[in-house]
Order: sequence, then C-alpha cells, then structure tokens
Amino acid sequence: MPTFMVYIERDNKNVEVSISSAKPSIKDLLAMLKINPVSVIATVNNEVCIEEEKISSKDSIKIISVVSGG
Amino acid sequence: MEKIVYIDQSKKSYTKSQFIRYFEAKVLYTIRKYDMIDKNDEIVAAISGGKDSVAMSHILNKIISKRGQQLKTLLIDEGIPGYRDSTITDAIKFCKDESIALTIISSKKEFKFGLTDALKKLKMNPCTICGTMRRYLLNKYARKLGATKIATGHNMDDEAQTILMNQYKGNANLSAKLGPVTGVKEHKKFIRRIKPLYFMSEKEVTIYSTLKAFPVKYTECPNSRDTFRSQVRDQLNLLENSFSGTKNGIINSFLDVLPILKTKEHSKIVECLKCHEPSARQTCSMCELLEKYSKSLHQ
Repeated sequence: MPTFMVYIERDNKNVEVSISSAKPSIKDLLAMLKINPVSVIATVNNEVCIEEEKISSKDSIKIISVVSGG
Repeated sequence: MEKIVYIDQSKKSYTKSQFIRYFEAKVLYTIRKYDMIDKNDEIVAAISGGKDSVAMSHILNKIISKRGQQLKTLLIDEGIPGYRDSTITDAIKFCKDESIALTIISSKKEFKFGLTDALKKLKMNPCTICGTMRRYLLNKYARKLGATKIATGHNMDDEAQTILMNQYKGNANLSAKLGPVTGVKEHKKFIRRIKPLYFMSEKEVTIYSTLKAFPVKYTECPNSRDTFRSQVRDQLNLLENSFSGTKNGIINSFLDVLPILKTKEHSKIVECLKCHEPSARQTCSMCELLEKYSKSLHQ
C-alpha cells in the first residue's frame, strides 16, 4: 500500500497517509483525511491542481485551507 | 500541456492563465454590473493582509493605476496578538511590492484597548466586538482619506453564510443591509461599501491568490473557530460538496428578494450624540462598547 507524506498548512504539520487504490488521486487522499474538497485546494510539487490529479508517493503534496481570515 | 487548476460548476476546465483571466474578468464584470466605481470615485480598499483583501486590492490597483492614480488601502489593527501582527507584515510587503498606499489604524491607539483586552473584560462574541471596531474605524478613516467608497474583500461564501445566519436567527430583515453595494446613499459621513469579490467563492479566491503567489498566509483568526458562523460555513461546504452550485443558488435567489427587503428597511442614519460619527441610534455601537468596557474596568 503506497504511503504519501502530506503537509496540512492549517495545522502546520506533515501527515503520513496510506491509500489502497492503485492510482490514487487528490480526491482519494482528501477522503482518507476526511477533508471536504470544497474547503481546501491542493498543490502537488508546488503546482495548484484539481482533485482528479493522480499522485505518487514521491510527490510533494500540500493541502491549503480556503477558510482564512476572520 | 498546461496543467488544469480548476473545473467550474459547468465542468469547464481552466489552466493557470485561463483561470487568472476568468477570475479578473468576473471581478471586473461585477464592478461594472453594479456600478461600483464611478469615474469620480475615490476608492479606499479595506485590507487585512489576508487572501481576499489582497486579491481584491491587486485587481483594484490595476483599475486605479490606469487613471494615473495610486490605490489607497486602509488596515485596521484590532489587536489580536500573534495573528494580526503577522497579517500586517504581509499587507506591508504586498503594498510595497505593488506601490499601493497603506494606512494602518490601531484600535489600541484609538480606544486605549484592542480586541484581546476587551475579551478579557466583556462577555461578548469576539466577532461582535471586532466588527464594531472595524466598521467604525474603517468609516472614520476612509472618510479622512477622502473616500467616496470603501471596497471590502467579502466573497460569495461570506455573503451566503451571513444570509443564512440572519435567517436562522430570525433576523432576515438584517439582510437588507447586504448585497454587492451597501450603505446609505445620503449621509455625508457614511461611506458606501462595495464588494468586488461578491460572486467569487472562497475557493476561487484561494486558487487565484496561490497562482499569483501573493505574500499571504492561509490562517484563520483564532477567535473565529467554534463560532456560529464557522458551523454554518461547514454545513454550507458539506452541501456544496454534495450539491454543486448551492452557494450560487443562495446568492442569486437572495439578490432576487433584496429589493423587497430594502423596501421594508426604514432605518435612518443620524450622528452619534457622543462621537458625531454616523449611527443608526442616538449612541453608536462603538460608543456603547466604550461605555461597557469603561464600566468593566471599575468593577
């Protein structure tokens, strides 16, 4: 089962996630993290991407909350 | 092949350059549709250093620069240590990078206390105190800067949440004060507000801000967690995830009924007897807050 290191910007921490899917996507990752896709954007290797983007365990993945400010 | 960064509600895909064009075009369309900026207007943009106000100021600066003028921005430091200091640094950097004039007004200097001080003494909703301070200072100092309109970075999510919150609390009439352009037209001391990001979702603003690499942090005010608004927001996002277009639906149907709500809105603007700033009552909300805080110090 591939493992992914994900940086969650809101919490300022790295989280390790295992996904059973053969070709997982950001969508699968968010589902594992129980994060609503509407409430975040994802970057893969510093590029903004959509939830359908496929990821590999070598990718640098960041999840940014869209909820900010007051 | 350029990477896709966004797919909209109608399933249309956007690359980075397409999305930036789409975002800016939609903001400009909103400004034109609601006559937000007249050729004689002096716009002061309320900036916090967060993604919304920075994105808005960036686009407004492009418009104002074409007139050969410099955009003026106004930042209210409510006094939230560890949070506001950080966003002020971001605002200063952004304004310097874009040659935008920035005025910073401190609640602590103006009133001798900030939000955090007030929360230690008063059992009030932090957003109520913050909102009162910010609106008062924005109006007062934007007027001093010669503003005819104040631009705020409120986005579609903010508005949809407020519309629902007013409904849930039985205050639907308060929504008469919402909309893309707000504020009383007649009173010389009350500056109208415009919301250029009115039809942009918070997600779209975040994508735009990230693609443009604005010097902002995507952090939440520490006082805004576990509030009524945050619960409404989370529920709205759940609905949006399952039923795409929910937020758009709330905004568009609200705009249909807004003219009716306005006909029932009869509040007048007077001058506060204490500070002479515009107010809906004889004593304005800020003076009432000052009185409460002063009393709390003697208890």
